[in-house]
Amino acid sequence: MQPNADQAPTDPLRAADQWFAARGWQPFEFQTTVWRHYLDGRSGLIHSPTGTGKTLAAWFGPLLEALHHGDGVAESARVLWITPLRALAADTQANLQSVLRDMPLAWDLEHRTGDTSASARARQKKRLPSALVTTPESLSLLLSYPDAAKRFSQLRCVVVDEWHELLSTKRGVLLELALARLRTFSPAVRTWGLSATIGNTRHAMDVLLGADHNGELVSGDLRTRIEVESLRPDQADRFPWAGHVGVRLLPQVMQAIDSAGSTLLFTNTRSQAELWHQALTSVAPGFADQIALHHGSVDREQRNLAEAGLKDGSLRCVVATSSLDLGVDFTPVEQVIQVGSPKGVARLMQRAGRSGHQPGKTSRVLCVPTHGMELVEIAAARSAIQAGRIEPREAAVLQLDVLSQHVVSCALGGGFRHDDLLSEVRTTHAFSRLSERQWDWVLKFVTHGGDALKSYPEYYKVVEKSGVYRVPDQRIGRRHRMSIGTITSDGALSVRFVKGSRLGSIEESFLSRLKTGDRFLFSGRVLELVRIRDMVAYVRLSKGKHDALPRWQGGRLPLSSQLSFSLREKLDAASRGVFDGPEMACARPLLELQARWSALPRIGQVLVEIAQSREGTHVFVFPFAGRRVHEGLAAVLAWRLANIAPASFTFSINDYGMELLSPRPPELCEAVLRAALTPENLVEDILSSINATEMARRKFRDIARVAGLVFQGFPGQGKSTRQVQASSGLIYDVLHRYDKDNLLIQQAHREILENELDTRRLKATLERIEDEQIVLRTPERFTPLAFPLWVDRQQHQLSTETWKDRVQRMAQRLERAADG
Amino acid sequence: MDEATVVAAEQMILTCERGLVWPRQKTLFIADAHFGKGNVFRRNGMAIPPGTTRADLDRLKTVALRHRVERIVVLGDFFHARPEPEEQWLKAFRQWRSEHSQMSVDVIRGNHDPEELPAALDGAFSYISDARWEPPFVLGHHPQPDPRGHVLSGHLHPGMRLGTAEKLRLPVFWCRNAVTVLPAFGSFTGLQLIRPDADDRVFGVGPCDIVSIL
Repeated sequence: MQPNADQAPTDPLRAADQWFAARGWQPFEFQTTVWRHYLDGRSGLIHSPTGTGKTLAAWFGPLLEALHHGDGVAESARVLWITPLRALAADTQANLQSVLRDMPLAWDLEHRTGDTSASARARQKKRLPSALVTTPESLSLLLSYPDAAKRFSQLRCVVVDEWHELLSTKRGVLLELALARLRTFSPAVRTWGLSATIGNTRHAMDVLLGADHNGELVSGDLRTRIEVESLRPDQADRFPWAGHVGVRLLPQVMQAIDSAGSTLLFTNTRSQAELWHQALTSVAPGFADQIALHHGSVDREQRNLAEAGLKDGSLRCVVATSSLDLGVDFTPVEQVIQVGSPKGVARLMQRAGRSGHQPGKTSRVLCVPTHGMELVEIAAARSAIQAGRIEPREAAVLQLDVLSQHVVSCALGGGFRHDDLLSEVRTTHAFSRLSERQWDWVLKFVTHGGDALKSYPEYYKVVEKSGVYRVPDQRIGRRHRMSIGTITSDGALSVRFVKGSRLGSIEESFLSRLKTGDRFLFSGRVLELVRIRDMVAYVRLSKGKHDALPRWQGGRLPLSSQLSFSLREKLDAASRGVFDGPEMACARPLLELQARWSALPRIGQVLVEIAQSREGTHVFVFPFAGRRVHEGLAAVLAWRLANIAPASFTFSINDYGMELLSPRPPELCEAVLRAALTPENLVEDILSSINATEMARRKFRDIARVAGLVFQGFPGQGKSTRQVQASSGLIYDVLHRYDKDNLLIQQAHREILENELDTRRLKATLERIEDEQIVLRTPERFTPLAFPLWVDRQQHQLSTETWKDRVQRMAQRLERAADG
Repeated sequence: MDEATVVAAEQMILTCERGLVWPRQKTLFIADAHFGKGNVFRRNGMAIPPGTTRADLDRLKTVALRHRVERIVVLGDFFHARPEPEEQWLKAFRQWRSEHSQMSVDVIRGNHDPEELPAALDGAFSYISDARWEPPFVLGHHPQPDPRGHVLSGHLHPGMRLGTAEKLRLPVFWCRNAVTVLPAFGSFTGLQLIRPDADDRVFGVGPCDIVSIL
């Protein structure tokens, strides 16, 4: 088509202006900026809170270009739109379509995810649509087809939605590799990332765009105001000794829900969501059926209903976890409630952004503390938001399991030459420092099986022939395609009613501990386990009370460094008699009690309390570094103290500190504590104190799956796949024993140290403590800071009923002591 | 240390090599060797290092010599799948067999074993397709009770988890009233966690010890 004066207006931006004007809108300045950069051939990253128009900023670029150049009938793919969740793909598609519909372009727009129908897939196999909404995994899959180079040669633009969510994950690494591939296939392709506000947006852009980019960082931050409010107990004195107290605020939460048209109530874990959903529906005055539950284990169908119900106004309240943190243009709700610790600044901002969703307007979030110290956390979060102290996200690097998978995909997708692929891979941030040795190992792993010295018999996954690496065996190729992707759901069992309908899924580790007839709370119902067969747990509704609550893995996020720093500032101020704001005023009696019985740690101090009880000596240390750091630190501390004088410890941890209990601990003075808290020899001591092998073995589950060492069969498939199924733990054992230098085993150990134990933050914490004053106190009884740790340990030792009794008795004793 | 016990009124010995010895008949029972499993994985593009069969044969030799047995009975799943003719472990096994030609070997066919004995192992052992009655025992692959006697079997790869924090997973000998299930012998085999009844006896297999669990 020849462009003429009518079809190609002199200002390429005019079509966008007209589209906005037709709706009585006007483009924001940042949107116009993005379009200009795009038309100049630049890539970049747009960061702003949710719902400020990032989608339109990114989408109009390629549309305007097509209009301007008369690219009205796109014969092959022009735009790829990457979304982190396949559940969002349909919504995104509808969103983009609503603009495309009005453009004089004969473009087709489809989506391609795990949910896409077989007929659409077949069509897409012949020809890709002009614009395609897809996930990182489906993109990798598309790259594994032999004609990938040709299919993507005319690609103009890749938009990566919610990039901050992918950034620090394996899926992000997989996407980095895919983007490098696309840049080889279509050198002119531009990449635009959309990100929420995080602490290191420039780094986020550098990772997305890879080496030597000339990217533009565009801020769409329209200074949306975020107001953090809180529900506080009327009775200001010592209300909150420990957990579960949030439910005390239930009447007030109910009132808040009642007074708003629509409410999103966020909790931190799926189990909390279940509890709150149950509590709310049991007290809701006449609208229990308008309260729904939404979390990652609830069946997709039910989640869709919850989302739709919130959209069309038939639901008053949805109780959710981070499963609802993401979402394109998710209809704004009138009110957002956060139950429990906000855990992080960016997270709270993101959740707040779900309310009042209009650019420039105020977003409000109502925080509900579940124990006393969370009042301080809420105040701290507010201060951190004001100070713009937002968490950074670090990208993952050198994940050889992901690289191995990608290399096989490339071999399938038309083959590759050694040097070409190496230099391409090195343009990504994740592998910019890939050594020759690591690259060689990965190549050997996919061609010979991984041993540098000998090749494995009958192992021919990738085969080199006259310089080109390919996958000759169709069967292996098919199997690889089936297992592409890095998302892992950890051995989850499907939960179904005996009569048929599916409720969701629960981790095997929880279900395997239940006996037939046990009752548990799930998916908003009390269920009774009938039997477990073929990876399905059959249940029936139960009338009684639940005896168990599923615990999901990974549910417990640590308090972020940013938030914990603000928290320490608040405590510092409190120790000087400054109690700013309603939360601090409310927490004042509790904090003063802490100061009276022990001390409030200031900036530059670390508090250690030693208390005696019938159980023995309790050592409480409060570094305020988040639970993950405390977990490693507690183990190291116990190990080091036991080295001074043989003693056995049990410990518990939370976001503020840790408790070490021993019947006969060594004599503790400041010098001993100093020695035990040194950052020297940290890694060695961690490895000696923690069963790192067992952790690595568990970690290996993901790695083995990504690297193609385990194959997950599909339901209904015959013996042929069963014969090649083995648990990742078994594979770990075999590799550990027969191929000690396997870099994937080493990677598992590295991931444990870096991610699970967060050695870097642990080291930083110990280095901080090295310069701090140790404030050693010996209170006569458990202090407000110490009590929750004691409770937590009891919780792990005793059955539910006795635990509750004991905690209540103890709390009453402490309250009487505080009164007297 | 090996552990002596009584099964169906016969003195038996449970060994850390995951074999069950019947001293009166100088017989060693093992189950679920799954030889060639690594090969099947490698042929399917999964990089499992070789060496498991070698280690298993060494272990088999250790236990057979220590108890001076004259016969080995494999209670099914000797193979993981029908082997390709050139698989290396076949050669290793033939070699092993010729070094221990004084022993007789019986293999009872399990669900993983091919119907016909592969030519490469012709004459290496007798290949039996049904459960065999050797009073007071019935030797079979599947742990189904048999009216003729106490069943010695495999198939399940029984294991148990010890400790609250799921720290330790052990293969076990599972001795029930009418059936005894042996742990899987092969190094490249997994575990299936069992839920024993109150009157079952369960013995865990540690690296060098047998531990009575129930």
